[in-house]
Amino acid sequence: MNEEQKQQVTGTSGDFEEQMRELLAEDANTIRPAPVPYPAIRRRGTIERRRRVAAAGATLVVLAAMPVGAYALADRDAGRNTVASTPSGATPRTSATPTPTPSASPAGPARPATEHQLLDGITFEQAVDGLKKCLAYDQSHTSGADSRPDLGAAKDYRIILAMNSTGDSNAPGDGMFVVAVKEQPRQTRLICNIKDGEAAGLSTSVGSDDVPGAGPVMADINGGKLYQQSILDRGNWKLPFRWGVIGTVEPSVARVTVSYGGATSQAALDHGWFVASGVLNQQVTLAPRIKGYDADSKLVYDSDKDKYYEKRLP
Amino acid sequence: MQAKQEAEFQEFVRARWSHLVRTAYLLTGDVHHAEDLTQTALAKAYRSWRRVSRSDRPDAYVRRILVSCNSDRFRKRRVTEALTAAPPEVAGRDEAVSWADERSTLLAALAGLPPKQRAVIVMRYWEDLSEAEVAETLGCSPGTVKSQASKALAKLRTHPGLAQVADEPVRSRVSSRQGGSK
Repeated sequence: MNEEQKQQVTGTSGDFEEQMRELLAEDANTIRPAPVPYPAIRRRGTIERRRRVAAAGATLVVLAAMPVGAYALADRDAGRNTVASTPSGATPRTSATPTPTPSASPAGPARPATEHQLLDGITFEQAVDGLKKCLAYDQSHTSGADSRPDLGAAKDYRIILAMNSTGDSNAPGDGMFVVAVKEQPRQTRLICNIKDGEAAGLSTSVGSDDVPGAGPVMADINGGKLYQQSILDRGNWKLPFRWGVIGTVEPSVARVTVSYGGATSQAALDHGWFVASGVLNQQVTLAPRIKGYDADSKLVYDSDKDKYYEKRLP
Repeated sequence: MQAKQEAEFQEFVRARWSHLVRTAYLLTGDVHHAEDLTQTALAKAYRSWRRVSRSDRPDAYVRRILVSCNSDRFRKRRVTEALTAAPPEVAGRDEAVSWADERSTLLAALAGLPPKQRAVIVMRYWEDLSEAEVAETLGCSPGTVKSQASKALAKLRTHPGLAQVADEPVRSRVSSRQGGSK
């Protein structure tokens, strides 16, 4: 094709640039961004600010503590970050969001890694009470001949999520979900549902869900009740709808995001579990999309590419 | 942060969020990445908001952070992600996709550009920035912007899908022109 023919095909330079403008605008306007997640932005911004202040403060402490003769060494290392223990508020195995909270006293369940895993105004004490009721309910309905494992006591668990539950046609009535986990003697995950102050349901998963060849992030395969309503209500969900997504992560995973209904939430990482939540204001057809990143922000897991993950809601 | 600055930041975020996500979408080709990237950029802006809000153009500052964060994303990843050129599905929305083929083509063509060229195209033809403004955003000279734009357009012109689109008459459509001199 000679230059003249190329000009005929592509038009003048100005025309092509104008068409680029039009096409870019079209593409950009096809997407409808999720509502602005202001609390998440502010929270991350606060962490960034604290990290910067802490790094500056720790540097001052380190330099102040150094003997005079070591200043040359400090200067040489300045570009490689001499701060040995900057309190970042997060490690790959624990929360990637706000400052970790201390564990509860030995007498009770452990607290979640962050206070932001206790949602909808639910206090830790209320979550503990709910967990205890569910365990008591399970104990009272277990006979000696039953082969179900003993779920143990509340104090053995860590509460990783507490949030509102929404009633549907299968299980009417709003209430509260409490999700608790423990590692010994076997990995156990409980999803406890409390309604009107009483245990209304308990989903138990004992033993690891690990599948050979699965990725470094694995959504809880029985955690669907946390993020969807009954199939009987398909197309007619009760809104707004508080959702939660939980699962396990390998230590190499530093960050997990969950996108659901057009919005993306950053998950809290809590002792090998990830926990994300949000509120849906519209019916959805796609399951939450989960992504995991390592400490270098490399994408190491994408549920869209996970053959074991069901990408559409039933 | 003082309450007044907090309120200013909140107002800024609410006013600019959608546009920034769209810019990030054109830079990344993926709506999930775009929202992540925009959140990251705004969080960094929050960190420095006292200084940012005093500048004449907080928009330009945040845009610089957005582009910089996107560059960091490319630098840090070792495994190439498959940047989807397919339109994202938005739950609950019933919208006729009338130009799906051309949209996919454009995003696929953009995905074939090096990050800097892609950023130049998005800044020049979506954000409508002048060469000087693009240079300031990317931290390079106007001459570099000019040459990067020229290379990018030459590459896009030879993309088979875009050559076909270029043959068709320009349709009237909604465009999002932003302020700023050329």
